[in-house]
Amino acid sequence: MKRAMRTIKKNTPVLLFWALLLLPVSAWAVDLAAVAARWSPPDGSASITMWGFIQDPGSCPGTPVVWENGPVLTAEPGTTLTIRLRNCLDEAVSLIIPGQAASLAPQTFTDGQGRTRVSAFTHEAAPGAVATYTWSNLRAGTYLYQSGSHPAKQVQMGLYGALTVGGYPDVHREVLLLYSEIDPALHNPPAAATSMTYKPRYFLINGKTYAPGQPVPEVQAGNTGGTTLIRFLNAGLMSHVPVLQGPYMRVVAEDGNPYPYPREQYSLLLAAGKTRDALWTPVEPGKYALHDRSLALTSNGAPGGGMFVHLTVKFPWVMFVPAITGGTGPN
Amino acid sequence: MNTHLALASLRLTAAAVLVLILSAAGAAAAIDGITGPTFQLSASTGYVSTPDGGSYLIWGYAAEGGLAQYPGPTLIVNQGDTVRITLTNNLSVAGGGPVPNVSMFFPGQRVVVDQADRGVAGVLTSEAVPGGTVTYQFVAAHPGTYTYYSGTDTALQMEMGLFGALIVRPAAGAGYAYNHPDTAFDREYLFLLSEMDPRVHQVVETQGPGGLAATNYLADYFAVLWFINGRAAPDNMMVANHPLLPHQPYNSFPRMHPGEKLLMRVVGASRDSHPFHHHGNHARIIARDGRLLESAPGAGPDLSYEVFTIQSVPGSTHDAIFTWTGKGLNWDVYGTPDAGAQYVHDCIDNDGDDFDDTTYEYCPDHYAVCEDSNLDGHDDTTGERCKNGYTKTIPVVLPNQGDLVFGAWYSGSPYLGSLEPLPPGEGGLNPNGGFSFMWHSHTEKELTNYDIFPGGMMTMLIIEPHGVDIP
Repeated sequence: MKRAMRTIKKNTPVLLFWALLLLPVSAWAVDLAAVAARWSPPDGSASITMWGFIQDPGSCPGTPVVWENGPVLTAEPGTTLTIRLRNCLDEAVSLIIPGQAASLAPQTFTDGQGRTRVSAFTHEAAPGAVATYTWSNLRAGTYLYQSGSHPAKQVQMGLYGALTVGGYPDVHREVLLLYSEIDPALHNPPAAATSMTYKPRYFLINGKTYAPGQPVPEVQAGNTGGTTLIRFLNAGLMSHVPVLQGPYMRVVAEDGNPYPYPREQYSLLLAAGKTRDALWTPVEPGKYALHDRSLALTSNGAPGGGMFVHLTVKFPWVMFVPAITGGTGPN
Repeated sequence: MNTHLALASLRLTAAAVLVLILSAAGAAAAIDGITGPTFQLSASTGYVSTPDGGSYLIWGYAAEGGLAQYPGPTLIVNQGDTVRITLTNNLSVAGGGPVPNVSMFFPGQRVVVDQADRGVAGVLTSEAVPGGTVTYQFVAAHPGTYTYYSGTDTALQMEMGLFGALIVRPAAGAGYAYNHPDTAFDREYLFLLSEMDPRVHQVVETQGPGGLAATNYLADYFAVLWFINGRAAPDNMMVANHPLLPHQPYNSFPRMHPGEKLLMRVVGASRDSHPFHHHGNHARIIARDGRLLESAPGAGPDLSYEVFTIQSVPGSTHDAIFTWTGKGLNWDVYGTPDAGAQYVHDCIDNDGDDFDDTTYEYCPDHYAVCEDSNLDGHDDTTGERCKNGYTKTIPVVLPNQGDLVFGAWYSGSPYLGSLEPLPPGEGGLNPNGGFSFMWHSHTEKELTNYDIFPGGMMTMLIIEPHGVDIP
């Protein structure tokens, strides 16, 4: 996998603490911006208006950026996460992390019939403004962060990303696979998805879709004999069913909650908004196809493509030593 | 040393007990399919019929010398078999355009392609070109219920019908789902769930697959037909291999006696999830994706759990054990003398399990007399509705027949194994006086055939009285 950038910076005093005393950090701070973006479909169709989270460049970009998932954030359990969000869009945005506790201040508006209705799960950053969000005592696991304002519109516009808290013992490689969809009809101009109109044409994993005739997106998934952690997240509005070719996965957690026993499966139901963690110890090198069994395997109407990646497994470095010294080596 | 010996002998004893238990059971095979371990299959075209009068082009796998099937042949092998499947691509495209490649993908199996017959490489697996072949091979290392489907242009080819079930029988032998006594069953049935969006089939029939590019049908999917084992209700209750349904050889019509264990092998064969709801009792899910729900190898299904709706996920499989007895109803399912002289019967429980040794009647409910000392219409102890001093008849007053509308499954009697007169033309589907329970998708709109109720993804479970032969 082209590893998404980690944007967490440790607070300076804490960083000193970490460096000098080798104690865990207790606070994490991130600066994000919600910006206008464009996503270019691989089939050559016209680029699509998106909204995205990026690492805050300090001021709003003058032109739309190239859209991708929000940066992958990492933190340790029990610590505090603070995100400073700059809003470069022309409507209010906010941030929520389902599964992580925060003090929420729901925002309301008065509709045309004089009724008070909720518009956001918590306080917002007005256009051009900056708002700060804090989660203390973080729970371990895999989480989505996403807009808490008008989510039916803003989330499907692309305002989502992943947060991972902590890890698993004896894991040699982490793979993060974030599923989402795009219905271009709702993006120009941005509009709310409803059950009547939401008909996505592009099906993405980590912001990319496989288009027929083009190379299958590849994700580096570790070495044979080592354990790989796959963090599955679904920021889309539909359920998907990743199926791993050949081997079984040990599904170990859901929504950040560990299972009492691993579940040995070749497939898993990844419902909208859900995260699931799975462990896998590949025994043979090669490219393992991971495809969506709910058949989001099309690209802009064309059969073939969609939610399809190759997980690439290699021999561990030490395995090549005999070959170098004249042995036959593995083949 | 002594400890080691003791442990070894304990293991031997445990193994001996297991063998004894395993050999004590026997089961009726009720799943139609073809047995391996070597299979010659092909992919070709055909038409399925639906009960609303529809007829739709399909692409299906066919057994050697057979027609394209919806679903493909159920492949039945034994644990440890080296399974070899040669697939020939006999597809044709009526609507125009090139004939596509085709393939078979086996989730959960470590498949290798025979290098002497390797077809051409595809993104998911090796493929057979038009007129060509490809041979897959894998060792059926683990018992269980599995599925297979086309790994070529899967969104289209699966919708067209290229999928099926694979059953691996355990080393423990017939009558077991897995290698553990707690997976024993008396009968087994396959519930392969699929659905269809006719728009796709019509475009492929008239324009060829290329016509789909101008639509978004494969993403903007909207099924209007639903099937169990390839037939929509009520067609699935007809016999298997019915001549009127040449491309849909399999039926779905589960029957069992009280007290038996019915193994449900549920396969999510196409792209939508289906909540498969089984009336009559809860079922215990013992395995998913061909793996026993166990806390450690050999522990048996200690992580199994009971449900009354099996959430069937696309591409996944569930094995569940369903049982039914009259226990818990609090009335005598065979009737009591108060209901009529013809209902006089015995309940003989020599083995002390509370059930009749032959009929599996729940003896504590047999002729039990209602004790309603305060005359509030309910038993003083159990609280059930009953009439003081009377035996446990069905606790409702049956209306006059003139006030009733009858289902075709009603025998005229509420009691198991009994028939009573019905008005002319009523009933008729329940000649043994069984109890019938609808098993169906709990997405209620899926109980239709193109918007006509009832039909679709439903069938009936029949609890047959003891003595009725169930093949």
